[in-house]
Amino acid sequence: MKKMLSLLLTLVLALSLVGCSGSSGDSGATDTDSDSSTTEESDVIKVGLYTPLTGTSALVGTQEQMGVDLAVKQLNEAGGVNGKQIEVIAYDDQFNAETAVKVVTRLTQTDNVDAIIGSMSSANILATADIVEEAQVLEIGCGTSPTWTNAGYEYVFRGTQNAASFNTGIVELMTSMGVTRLGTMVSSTEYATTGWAEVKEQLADTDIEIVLETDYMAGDTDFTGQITRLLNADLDGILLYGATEDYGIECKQLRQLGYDGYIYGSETFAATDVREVAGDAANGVLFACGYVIPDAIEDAATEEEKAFLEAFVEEYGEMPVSDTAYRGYDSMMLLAKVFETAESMEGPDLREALLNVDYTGIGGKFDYSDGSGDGLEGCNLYAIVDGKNVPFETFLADLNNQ
Amino acid sequence: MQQTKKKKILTAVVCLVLLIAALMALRNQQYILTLLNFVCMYMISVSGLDVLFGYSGQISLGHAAFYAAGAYTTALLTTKLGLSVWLTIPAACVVSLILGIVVALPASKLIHHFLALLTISVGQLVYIVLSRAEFTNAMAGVSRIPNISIFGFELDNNFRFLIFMIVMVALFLVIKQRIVNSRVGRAFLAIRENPVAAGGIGINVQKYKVMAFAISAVFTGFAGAMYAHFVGFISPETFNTSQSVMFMTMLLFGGMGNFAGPLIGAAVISVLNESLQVLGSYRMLVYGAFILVVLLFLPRGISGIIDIIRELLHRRKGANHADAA
Amino acid sequence: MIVNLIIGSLMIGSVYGMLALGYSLIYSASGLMTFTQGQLLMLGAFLGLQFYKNMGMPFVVAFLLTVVIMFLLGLALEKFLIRVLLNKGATSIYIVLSTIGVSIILPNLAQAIWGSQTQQMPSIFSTTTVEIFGAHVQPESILVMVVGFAAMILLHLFMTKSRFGISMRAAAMDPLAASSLGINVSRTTGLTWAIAAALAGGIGALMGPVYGVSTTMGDIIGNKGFAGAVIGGYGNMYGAIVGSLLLGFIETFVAGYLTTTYKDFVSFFLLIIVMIFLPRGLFKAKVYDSD
Repeated sequence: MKKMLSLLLTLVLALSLVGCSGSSGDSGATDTDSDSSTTEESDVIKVGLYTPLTGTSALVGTQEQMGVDLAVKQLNEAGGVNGKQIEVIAYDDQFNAETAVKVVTRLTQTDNVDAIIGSMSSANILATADIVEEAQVLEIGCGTSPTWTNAGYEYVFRGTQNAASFNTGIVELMTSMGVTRLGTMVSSTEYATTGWAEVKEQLADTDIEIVLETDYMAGDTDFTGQITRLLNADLDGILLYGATEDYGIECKQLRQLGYDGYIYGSETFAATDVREVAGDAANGVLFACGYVIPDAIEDAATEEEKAFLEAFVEEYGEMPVSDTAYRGYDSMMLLAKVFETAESMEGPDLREALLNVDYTGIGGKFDYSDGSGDGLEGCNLYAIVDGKNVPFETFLADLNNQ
Repeated sequence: MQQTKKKKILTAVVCLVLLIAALMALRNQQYILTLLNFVCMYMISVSGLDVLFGYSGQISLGHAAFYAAGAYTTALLTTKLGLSVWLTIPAACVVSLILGIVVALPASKLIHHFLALLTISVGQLVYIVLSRAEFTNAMAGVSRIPNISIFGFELDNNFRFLIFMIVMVALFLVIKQRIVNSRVGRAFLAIRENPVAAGGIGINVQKYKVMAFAISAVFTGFAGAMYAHFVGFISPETFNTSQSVMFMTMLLFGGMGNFAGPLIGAAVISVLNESLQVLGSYRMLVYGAFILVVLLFLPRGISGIIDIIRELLHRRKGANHADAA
Repeated sequence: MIVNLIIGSLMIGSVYGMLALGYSLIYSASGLMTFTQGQLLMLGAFLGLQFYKNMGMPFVVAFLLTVVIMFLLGLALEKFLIRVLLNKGATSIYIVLSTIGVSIILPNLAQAIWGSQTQQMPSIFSTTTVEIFGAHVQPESILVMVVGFAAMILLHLFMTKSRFGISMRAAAMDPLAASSLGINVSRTTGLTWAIAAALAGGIGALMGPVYGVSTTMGDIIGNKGFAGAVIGGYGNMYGAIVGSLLLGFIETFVAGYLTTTYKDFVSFFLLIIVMIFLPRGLFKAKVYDSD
C-alpha cells in the first residue's frame, strides 16, 4: 500500500517534470521559429501578467487580475484585436523579487508573450526591468512607486499614476488644512517608506513640523504603543502611510484612543474595505489618490468608469474593492490600443505605438509621448465624510460654510 | 578492480559529455537557464543545510539569514565601495561564517525544538534589520549590483553564469563530501545519533556543533552572494521566513544526510514551484498540500524512492529465483 | 496614556496567551511542537464571521459553534495527520514541518473561500466605547480579556480537578507508565490538540470585531504567541500566560516610550536573550540537549 502510494507520487512528480519540460519543449520549437523569421504568425496575442496572487498582498494582485480578465473578455467578445483573440498568462510573484525574476523570464523567454502587464509591487518591477529591457518586451507596470520611471528604461511604462503626484497631493491637503504639528505612522514596506520619504522632502519647504515619526511591520494588528505616543505629542495632524489592510484598524484604534483630529493618508485609502472595517472611525480621513471606487455605480465620476463598473458587477457579482482593478483594466485596454496601432507585434514597434497612443480610460487620458515611462497625470483629493468619499473641494466648502 | 575504475571514469566522461550536450542544447532557452541558475544556488544552499541538519542533527528554520548575509555583504561592498567581486564574495562568506558562529554559540546548547525557534527568531531579527536599517537601503533594497567577471570575462548572461554556477556546485559538493567523510563528519554523525554518547567518547560536542553551523552558513552565504550578482537587485522580501522554510522543504523532500538528496530536493521543488504557477492564486494551497502528502507518504524524501524501487526490483529478482528453483 | 498602554498590553497579551496556552498544552502532553496556532486563530475568525455576519446568528451561538468546530478540527488534525505521522515513526521535526504545511494551507484555503480582502465583523455590543480610568476602550477588547482569563481559569480547573485532566498530566509526565495504568495516551494527546485549536479559534472569533478579519491576521500573532510560551517556559501552562502578558507589556511599552521601528526587534531579541540566559524560561522547561 505504502509502496504503491510512493510510486504513485513518483509518477505524479515525473509527470509534473514532463509537463514542465513539455511546455519548454513547445517553446523550444517556437523559439527557433522566431529566431529564423521574426515575423512569427500566431492566431492569438499573448499578454503576460505577474503580480501577487497569494499572501499578504493577494488582494491588490487578484483585483488587478480581475480587471485584466474583464478587459480581455470584452475585447475577445468584440472580435479580439486585429482579428486575434487575446490570451492572458498570469503568474503569482508572491510580492517577492526572486519569484518575480523567474516568472518574468518565463513570460518573456518561454511563453514569448507580446507584452506584459506588471506587478503591483514596484520592487518586483525594478528587479525584473533588466530582463524586460533585454527581451525588448513592452511592459505596463501597475505599481505607483516613483522608483522605476524616469530611470532610463525603454520598455517599462506605468499604467496608472505615479505616486509622486499623490505625495504632492498629500502635502497640499495638509497645507490647506493648516497643519502645523504632524505625526506619522508608516508601514515598513517599499511602497510606504519611499512614499513617506518623498512627502517628507516636500514638507521641508512648508511650515509643517514633523514632530514624531512612528512605524510598524506590515501585518501588525495592535498599534496601541504607536498611537499612545502620537497622542502624547500634541499634534494637529496624523499621516498614515501603508497598505489597505492596515488603514481600517489604524483609524479605529486612533479614534478609540481619543484622537479626533484629521487623518491624512495615501492612495490606498481609496479601497472600500478601509471604510468597511473602520466604520465611523474613518470620518475625517483626507487622502490623495488616482481613482476612488464609488459606493454605487450611479456615483461614477465619468462615463468610462460607469461602464467599467457595470461590466465588473455583471461579471463578478460585486463592486471592485481595490482601485487596482481599474489599473489592470486600463493597462489591458491601453495595450489593446497599442496592438491595434502598432506596425508589427515586435517590441520596438509596440513601444513606438505606445509613445504615440491616444487612449482615454477610467483614469483619464494617457499620454506617454515624453518617454519618461509615465503616461497618466492627475491626482484627486478626497475626504471621508459620513462613511462616504467626498471630493476635498466640496468638503472644504462645507467646512467654510459652517 | 581496474575494470571498475575504468567503468567509473567512463561514466564520468559520459556524464560530462551529456551535461555539455544538454547545456549546448539549452543555450538559448533563457527561462530554463534562469531556472537552472536558481537550482544551482539552492543546491549549494541546501547542501549546506544538509551539513547542519542531515549530518550534525541541528535544525535551522532561519537559514534565510545567512542567505541574506551573503547577498547583502557582496551587494553593499560592490555598489557602495566599488570593490571587486574577488574581494566581496570571500567577504560575503566570511560575514556569513561569523554570523553562523554567533548564532551557533547559544544555539548549540538547545534541543531541536528550541533550536527551531531560536533560528526562526534570528531569521526575523535579520529581516527586521534589513527592512529598517539605512545602510541596507531599507525596503527599497539594493539595485544595480554588478556582474561577476573572471579575468575580464564577464558573466553577463544566463548561460555564462550557469557554467560558472555548475563549477561552483561541483566545488562545494566536493568540499561537502570531503568534510562529511572526514573525522569531522564522523563526529557530526556521532552527535546526531546521540550527543550524550558522543560527549562520552571524547568528542567536543559544542565545538563540532558550532563548526557545523559555520560550514552551513558559508555554503548558504555563498549561494546568497550568487543570488545578488545573478539578479542584480536584492530587497528584504526575498529573505523572510518562507525562504528558510523552502530550504528546509527542499532538504526534507530530497532526503537528507546524503549526497544526492539536497540536489534532488532543490531541483524538484524548484520545478514544482514553477509548474504550480499555472494555478494562480491556488498555487500555495497546492504547495502546502504537497508538503503534507510527501511527509505522509514519502518520509525518507525522494532519495527514499530509489531505495523502495531497488527493494521492489530485488524482490522480483528473488521471486524469479524462486520460480527457477 | 499609561492606562491606555496597560489596557492595550493586557488585550494583546491575552491574545498571545491563548495561543501560548495551546502551544504549551500540546508540548506538555506529547513533547511536540506546532506552528499552526496563528493560522487556527485566523480560521476561527473567519468561521465567526461566517456564522455571525454572513448567516446572521446571534453572537453567542456563532462563537460557541466556532469553538466546537475548531475543537473538532483540532481532533481531526491530530488523528489524521500527527498521529499518522507518529505511527510511521516520523521524528518531531517532520511533525513541525507538517504543521508548517498546514499553516501554508489554511490561509490560502481561507482566501479561496472568503477572498483576500479584510472584512469587518460587526460590533457585538451596542455601545462603541466604554471608559475605564479615563481611557476609551472598545467593549470587545474587554471581552477578549475576560474570555481569555476565564479560559485560563477553566483550563486550570480542568487540568487539576477533572479525571481527564489528571490523566492528561500523567500521560505527559510518563506516557509509558500512564498507559500501563490504563490511560489512553493517544486520546489525551488528541484532546490537547483539540483544546489548543478551540482556544485559538475562539479568541480569533472574538478578535474579529476589534481587528477585522483577514487571511494574514494570524501570521505575526502566531509567532508572538510562540515567543510568549517560550519566555514563560515552554510546556508550562502558567508560564505561557505570564510570558505572553509580559511580552504584550514589553512590546507595547517599548513602542510607547522607546522605539516603534525596532519594536519587533526588541521582542525577538528578548526571546533570544531568554533562550540563552534563561533557557528554561521563567517557569523552567526542559530545553537542553543533554538533560
